[in-house]
Amino acid sequence: VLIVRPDWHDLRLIAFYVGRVVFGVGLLMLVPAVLALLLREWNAASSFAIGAGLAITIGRAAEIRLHSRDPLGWSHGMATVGFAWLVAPVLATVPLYLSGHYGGWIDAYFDGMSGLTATGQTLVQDVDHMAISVNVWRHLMHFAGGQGIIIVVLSLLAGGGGSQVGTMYFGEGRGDRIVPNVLHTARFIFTVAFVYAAIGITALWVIGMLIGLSVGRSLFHAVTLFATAFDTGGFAPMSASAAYYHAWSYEIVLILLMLAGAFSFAIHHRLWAGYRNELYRNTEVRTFALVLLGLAAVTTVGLITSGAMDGAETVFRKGFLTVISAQTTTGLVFENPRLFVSDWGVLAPAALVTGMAIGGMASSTAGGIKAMRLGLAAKGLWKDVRRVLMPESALVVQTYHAGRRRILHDEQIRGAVVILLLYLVAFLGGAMVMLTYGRWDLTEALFDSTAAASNGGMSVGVMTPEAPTPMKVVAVLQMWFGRLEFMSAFALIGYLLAIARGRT
Amino acid sequence: VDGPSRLRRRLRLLSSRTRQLVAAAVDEAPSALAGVATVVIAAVFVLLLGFGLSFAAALLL
Repeated sequence: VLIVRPDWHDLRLIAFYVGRVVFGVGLLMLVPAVLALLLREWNAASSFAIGAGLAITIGRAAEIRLHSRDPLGWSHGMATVGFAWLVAPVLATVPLYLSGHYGGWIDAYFDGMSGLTATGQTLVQDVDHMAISVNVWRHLMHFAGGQGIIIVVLSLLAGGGGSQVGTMYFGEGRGDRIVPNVLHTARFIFTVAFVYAAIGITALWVIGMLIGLSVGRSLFHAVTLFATAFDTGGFAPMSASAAYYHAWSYEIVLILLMLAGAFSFAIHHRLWAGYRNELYRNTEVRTFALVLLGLAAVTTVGLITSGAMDGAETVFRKGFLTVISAQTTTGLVFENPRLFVSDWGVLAPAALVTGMAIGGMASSTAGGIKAMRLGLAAKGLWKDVRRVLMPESALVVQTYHAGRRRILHDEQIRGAVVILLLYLVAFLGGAMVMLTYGRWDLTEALFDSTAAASNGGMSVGVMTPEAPTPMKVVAVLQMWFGRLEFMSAFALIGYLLAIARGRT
Repeated sequence: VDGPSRLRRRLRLLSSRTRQLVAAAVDEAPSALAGVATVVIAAVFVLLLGFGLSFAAALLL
């Protein structure tokens, strides 16, 4: 192996920054802790105290014992992100595990990872009777993880210009900085979220009261569902998910929030700056919209020809809205998801799987391969076709639009296709593991595996508390790889290899 | 720097960051709302297309 073995300084630097992330998770846990005290949920309050105490103690210990002014290199940043995204769910899991709503620590860790990666698959039991503060914590994890826990920590804890932690921003599945300063980028991402939160929570709160929820209950549902919809998570405060509400208006607001969450923060920035034409000129928006409408058409045909549905309203509410939930990788469902494989025929669930696999836009809260990669791969293919058809001496230039018209370079196409292939391997690999147990058919295995690795989060009943433990572990790894878009996860694995076999 | 004063510094930083975030949100409100409106209009357009598609399919198939 031609990798240089990391020394103590490298490991210390990584541990220091991971400690900072853990400290941030501890601080976040104080929010549901205070809520638990206000609601007199004493058991939950004590479990939050234990979780936050552990995280803050570990974070402070790392700060005091490992403080370093060494520069944070590219590889340090990437490995830190990879490691932080494995460690943060461990601490985040503590109150979940102590809540008594999980079959064991692995189940709780599964939900911790699913929460922070904004996936939404869950192994929780009897969520309808879960303490409100614990349920809020599950959704707060969606918010923190969907925005990016590194972004959260950057915004809360980093001093100065944030240059030391700039590399970590990229490791978290983010593209270019929206504005040159990484802290300003983080601040913008939060501002977008807070503006949508103010509007979305108010709308859901009012509608919730109109459809019969009490004031407090409606606020609880509004806050949790805002986090799950805008951060394209998938957890819901009730086991029936979005089907619990039986209200058009509620479903439409949720869908609008999902679509807003699936928009790249860079596009939000352009729109906020007044460049409205970005909406129809941007390659990624076009790709996303084309795929969405194509999959909606496939789902509609599938639902009607299979006899699962007949009326336009049913097809729209059960089919089209579910396609949006799938492609934005949210995972909220509008009817029992078991019906996707038992009643919907084969075409409609295939469209949902494809939607989750492709996912939302790059640098958004959504997961999946991302519309930009698909768009660039398609344009790369078109570039190759043109190269074949045109005279050999012709210079073939392909462009795409992202903020402005840009020339598409071969290395960008290669980068997009490599990540696209890695996602496909993750989807198929997870499905293979599920199929080895012989309990599920290909549709079911592919559905739940894609939902995990794309951070889509729907489940047709494969990932349940009764699922074999190795399958849960594989799904956790799929969520981790998928959320980090592979690179920082590979960087961490490379670091571990270098420790074992690298050159000094 | 000892532990408690570091913690105080962190808390000051946290409060300053929160104030900055709130101030930024207030400053950017008009352009933000215009941006949000654009996204919402686009999303509603997609929903209308979807409903039209569902309606047409229900009639034709």
